[in-house]
Amino acid sequence: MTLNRRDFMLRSGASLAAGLTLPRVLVRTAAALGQSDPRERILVLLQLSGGNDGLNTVVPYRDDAYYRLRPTLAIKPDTALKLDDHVGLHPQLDGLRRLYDDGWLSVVQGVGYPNPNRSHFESMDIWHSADPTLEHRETGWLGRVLEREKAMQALHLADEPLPLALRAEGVDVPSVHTIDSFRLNADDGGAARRAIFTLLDRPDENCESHAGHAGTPPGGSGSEADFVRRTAAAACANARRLEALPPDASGSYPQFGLARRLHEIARLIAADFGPRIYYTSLGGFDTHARQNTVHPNLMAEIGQSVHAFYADLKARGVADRVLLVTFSEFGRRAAENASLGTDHGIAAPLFAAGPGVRGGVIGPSPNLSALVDGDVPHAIDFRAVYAAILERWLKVSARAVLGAGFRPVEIL
Amino acid sequence: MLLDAYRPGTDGPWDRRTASHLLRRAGFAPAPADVDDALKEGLARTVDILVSNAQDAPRHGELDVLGERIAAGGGGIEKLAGWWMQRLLHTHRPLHARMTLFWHNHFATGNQKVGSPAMMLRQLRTLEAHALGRFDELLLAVSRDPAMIVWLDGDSNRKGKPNENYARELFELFSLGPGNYSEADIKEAARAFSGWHQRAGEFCFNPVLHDDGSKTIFGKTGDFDGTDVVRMSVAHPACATFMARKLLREFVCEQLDAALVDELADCLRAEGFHVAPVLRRLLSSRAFFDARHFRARIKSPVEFCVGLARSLEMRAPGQALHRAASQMGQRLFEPPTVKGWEGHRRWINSSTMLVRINTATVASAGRGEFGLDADAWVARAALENGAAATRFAIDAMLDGAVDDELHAALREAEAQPPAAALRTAVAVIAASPDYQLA
Repeated sequence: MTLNRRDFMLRSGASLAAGLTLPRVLVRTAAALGQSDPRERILVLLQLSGGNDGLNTVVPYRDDAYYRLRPTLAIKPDTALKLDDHVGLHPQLDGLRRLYDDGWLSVVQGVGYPNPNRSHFESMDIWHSADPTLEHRETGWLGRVLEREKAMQALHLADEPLPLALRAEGVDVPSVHTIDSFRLNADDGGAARRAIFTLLDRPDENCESHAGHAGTPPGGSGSEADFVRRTAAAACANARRLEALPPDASGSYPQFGLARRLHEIARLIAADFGPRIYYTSLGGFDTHARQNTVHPNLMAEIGQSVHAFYADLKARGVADRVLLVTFSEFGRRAAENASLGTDHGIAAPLFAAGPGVRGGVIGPSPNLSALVDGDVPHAIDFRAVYAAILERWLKVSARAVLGAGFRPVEIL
Repeated sequence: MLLDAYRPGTDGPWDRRTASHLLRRAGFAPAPADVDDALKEGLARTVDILVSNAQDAPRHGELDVLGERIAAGGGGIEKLAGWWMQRLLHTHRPLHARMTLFWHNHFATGNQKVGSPAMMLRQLRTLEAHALGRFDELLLAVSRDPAMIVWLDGDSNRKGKPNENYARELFELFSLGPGNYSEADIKEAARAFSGWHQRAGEFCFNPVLHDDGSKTIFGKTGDFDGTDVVRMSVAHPACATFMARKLLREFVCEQLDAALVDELADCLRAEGFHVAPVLRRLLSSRAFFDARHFRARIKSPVEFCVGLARSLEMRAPGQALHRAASQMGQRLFEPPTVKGWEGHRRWINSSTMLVRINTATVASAGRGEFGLDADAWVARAALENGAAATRFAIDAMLDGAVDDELHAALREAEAQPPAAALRTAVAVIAASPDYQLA
């Protein structure tokens, strides 16, 4: 991290001094127009918050030790959706199984990092910052991508605040609960709304060429007032663009929150809205007690939503441009606990989906007869997954973003 | 000297604009009557009242008890945060309230990990008790605070198995800043705090788990305990400079003048780290009233929400007010990390700016929980037409100063009947770039 960190400090220092901490607008800037390619690739990152139970997601249905460790929670061998001779998917992941059959799903097993941290908070920061030492948690890995690739846009579509993964100095990623909620809502008959747009919505203020105007207080175009003015203009522009998105009922999605968010993302992708990175999340994975009342529903939500998403993208003719990757801050312990649940573990499998992936199962299946401190140790560093996404999908230097070299996992 | 007293009449005026600057920075956006009072009292006396006023509003007595009741009754942290917002809204000691918020950000502790509104309240009481007092006393109190002990893993800091979390943050974030100590200092300081635990929400020193061996910290060797480390941290030459920077970022601006930092650090040392006289000096200084600093610091979400509600006496239930601040990125009792909220430009991005704009429009429409009573103001201030109502909003929210652009946008308001005009004007002003600045 050291080199990258210094690199980052130097650049952010320079941009701060020049007052160029620019808000991002969901439109292609003049600089980006020249390089923009309507066929450019898109990443959808799906965060599973709370620590998804990897062993009940990708099930080692041939391993007797699995059934010994989980007398009540284990997925029965005959119900697991078999992928190969060792592992199968949770029965509710039928949607992912269908993607797998089409060669659109890559299952990466045993993903984690050295010296695992079992705190939700800390481990999530590790995945977000891509720094297992937690010494540099100011910026996120995708934030650093956006910082380097000035023309690249990102959108966070979830109920939580903007995640660390998307943060970096000088990077402003819009965070939207729903497309419908990102709008200027003045309900006084329109007068306030019109006046606010008159005041704030200035397309010319979205880019660096802004030259200041009457009423700019002392401090000039690098002043706080000017920064707020430009950000407000960006907010109005984003709201205006999102409001203008045509209503769209296409696509057949199940009644899940995740499905709704992925549907919105599909609409934005099809409308060529701008972002190359979409980030969304699904919570509820912290299954310490009565796991079987919760976890199957979450599996169904993921399986059905992701399947509907790709069916929709395919119908819109954009599926091959979209890579979806899941992750969670950690897996759960191999043995079930006394409350019919599982406690915080370490490594876990993750999924990469889309026509662009190399379908199949990657990495060793968990060996539950060789646990270390009650867990299956990690086999693949999560940064090797990031490296694949960065180098082979987004086409940016993984070393520069991750601060060290990682051999990309063969998901792409 | 930059901290020399600002002399109204000689160095500049003492008018609505300067008085309002002081009240905004040392508290929240004032109501017009507060500015009238400040003009009547004069600068010196106004600063005096801000710094030394020990009396709070009568309403506050009832509110105080409510906090304990929420915490004891198992009320969630949102309720407690709403209660705090309510107190900020009604306080007669705005500087004390602002300093309490400042310390909450300085010693940023999150209930997400602490998991106890009662312990968070107890920490808040500690911050309040020392808000304008001596920093060394506050630092020691925080080092023994149960919520802080849980937050930074004090309970797992034991003899032979030191946990460095608190010692590291004590140096890096609470007293010195990076570069002023070594990793070895951290390791040794962690040993000094070993056995400083909490049990059932009370501080408890565990002598068996305390490492009473010899430690070497900042080049000095002795059988130090946590109290010694706190004393040595405050005596470290970097401490006054570090705290001067933080105070200046809070009250003056983000980009600091090195000479001003040095002057304020000297002042801190001279006053024995007693915050009240240091703030009295700063808030009366020429540097503070430098024209470059007027409306040049971005308001925090809490400042924005409390100020908006205070200056127009809006109906504002604490939890509704807190929900608005949360959406803008500031959830009380839940700072993002132990570093607190970064503040300044990091408060504003296109999403949080949109939340500010929408909060402005919804609150001014007056139909939600948190909102303006336009009809009451029209009657009370005898606003006869749209122009008068618009002027009233400009005076109350921007001390009468409005630039051409904002004025053009407000024409939409002026053409309406008075109550509608007031609602539109308040929405537009609260959404304007100028209003985001203190």
